[in-house]
Amino acid sequence: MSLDDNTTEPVIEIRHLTTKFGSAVIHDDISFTVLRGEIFAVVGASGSGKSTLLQEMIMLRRPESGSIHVLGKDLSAIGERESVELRRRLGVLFQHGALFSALTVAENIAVPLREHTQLSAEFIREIVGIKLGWVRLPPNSAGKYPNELSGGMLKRAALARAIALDPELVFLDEPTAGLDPASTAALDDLIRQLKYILGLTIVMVTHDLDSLWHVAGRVGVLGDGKLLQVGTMDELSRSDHPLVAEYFQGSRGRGAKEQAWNPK
Amino acid sequence: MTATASASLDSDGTLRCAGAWKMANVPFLERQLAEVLGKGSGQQIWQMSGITAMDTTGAWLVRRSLRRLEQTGRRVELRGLRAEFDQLIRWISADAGESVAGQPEKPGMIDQLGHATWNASLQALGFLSFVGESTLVLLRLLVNPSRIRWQPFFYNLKAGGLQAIPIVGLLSFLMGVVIAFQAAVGLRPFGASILIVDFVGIAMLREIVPLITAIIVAGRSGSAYTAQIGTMKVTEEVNALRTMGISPLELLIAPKVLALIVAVPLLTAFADVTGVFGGMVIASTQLDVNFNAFLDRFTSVIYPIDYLIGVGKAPVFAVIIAMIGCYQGLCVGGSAESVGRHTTISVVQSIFLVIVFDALFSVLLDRMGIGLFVQ
Repeated sequence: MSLDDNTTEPVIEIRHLTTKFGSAVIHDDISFTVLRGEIFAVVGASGSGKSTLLQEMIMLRRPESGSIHVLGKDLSAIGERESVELRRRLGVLFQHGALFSALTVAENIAVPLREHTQLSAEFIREIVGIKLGWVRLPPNSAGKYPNELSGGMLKRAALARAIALDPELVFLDEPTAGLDPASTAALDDLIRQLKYILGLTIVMVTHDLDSLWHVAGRVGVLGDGKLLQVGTMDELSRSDHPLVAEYFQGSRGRGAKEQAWNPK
Repeated sequence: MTATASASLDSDGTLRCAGAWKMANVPFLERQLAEVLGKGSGQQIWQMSGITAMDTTGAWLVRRSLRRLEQTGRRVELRGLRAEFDQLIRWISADAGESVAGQPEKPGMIDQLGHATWNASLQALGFLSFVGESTLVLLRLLVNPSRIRWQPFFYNLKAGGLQAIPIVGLLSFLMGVVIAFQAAVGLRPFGASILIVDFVGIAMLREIVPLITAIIVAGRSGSAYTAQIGTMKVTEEVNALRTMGISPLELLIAPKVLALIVAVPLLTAFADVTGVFGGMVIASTQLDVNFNAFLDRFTSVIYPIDYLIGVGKAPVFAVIIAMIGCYQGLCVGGSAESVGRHTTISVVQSIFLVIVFDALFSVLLDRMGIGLFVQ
């Protein structure tokens, strides 16, 4: 919980990170810090290594060099048991949901609760009901299988699973990709609300400029293997770095900004 | 989450709550509360100021306990609750809190029987129409061979035929050894050792080799076809082909069927050699029938028809395996789990049908006068 209003406590610290695929350099000496309670977005053109960066932060991939500290733990020196402990404090929403197709929505959300807690089956069912309500899924979707859900519902169900254990830190990989504008706006609101109530720290990878304006606190722009700039959307939209300007000051970027400044 | 939590009743009837009301402590707190909640009546005071941390489960524990108490007509006053915890509790209760079972309703027995029958008929009908459709496509390809996709054909010929040679050859050799062993035990006491040639020759060429070859191909290639086409269904590649105006039957399925029709008879012929050789090895080591004597008798008692019957079944088995493998692949729907299920069905069904057709062949050949008893 966000007991301390001390928002300068770092949750993720990345120092001199370098990643290579064979001889191709994906990240070249990247450093940044994510603070507790903020929504930090990573943007960049396709192939700029956003998803790779995310995989490194959630311990699915090891960087070639540099250090990553998540919730105070050094990922390069973490032991087996410690990493399990740490993973329980993280929630991840994968780009395509990654719900287990053999399980119903409710069973999917119950998986982490069953694995990692000693709660009774009835209590777990009730918690599942709460999480379903949080992500605004109708109760009758609980018994459905993932392949019976629409794209928006799938994302919501996956988000419910990601926050099942009340994580401190949530990673969202393209949360609004493939959703219609109404669903996107609803998901953005949901993310903000969950952050507020649960005191979450959120790291998201996204392309969606509207989402960035509505949700993100600070944004880091990846390009050419470097972290080009970190700042609020307002700062970035006035940036004179050519690559950053190209990203945020195209016609779409301006449209998203106007919309964000002049809400209906 | 190392901080402990507690909920205990004071002498004056106040419930004192303290510590971290978080997931790890909730099972313990739930037990403590259950003891406490039974006692007392009327107004109850919960002193919450000792709570240092709370998450969803903790908040829900408070909320559901309050609800139970209120249902029994008692009122509870929460005191000293921090604002953010209060908000969390309220947010939870505003939204949901119904128990969600999350299992689709289990249908009754008659319901299940009906569904199973209906699905089985649909499957049979679907397979029938698939066979019809692919036969048409194959006939069209035979009339117009330039439309055959040679690249996938040769690829499948290599994967399903060439690369199966070692395993088919080895297993057939072993089957020859096993069959000859059984025969040797029976023949030796009668001094009829030389008859092992008749036994091994006829059993291997007519029955064992075509069957073992078909079963291996069903396990190797049939399952691979289902998994490949099934995965392509899941990733919508099959739909992509359709929208491009490319018939999946022509691109995916015809080359596989044709490749197996060529590969399985060739594999059977090769396995005939290794299988009979396995019998020869046992005949010479166990029954003193050396290779020369074996081959001498082999050429006089085994007729080309025995070989042709065995190899003649092979294309039929090939069609069964390829058709079922591809059809089950196309039946895959939606999920990764479905791929696994249909792969299993594909192998079981094709082995089943191969054996059924083998039995039909025996009856048919007997009627045609080239069964074993006529010779």
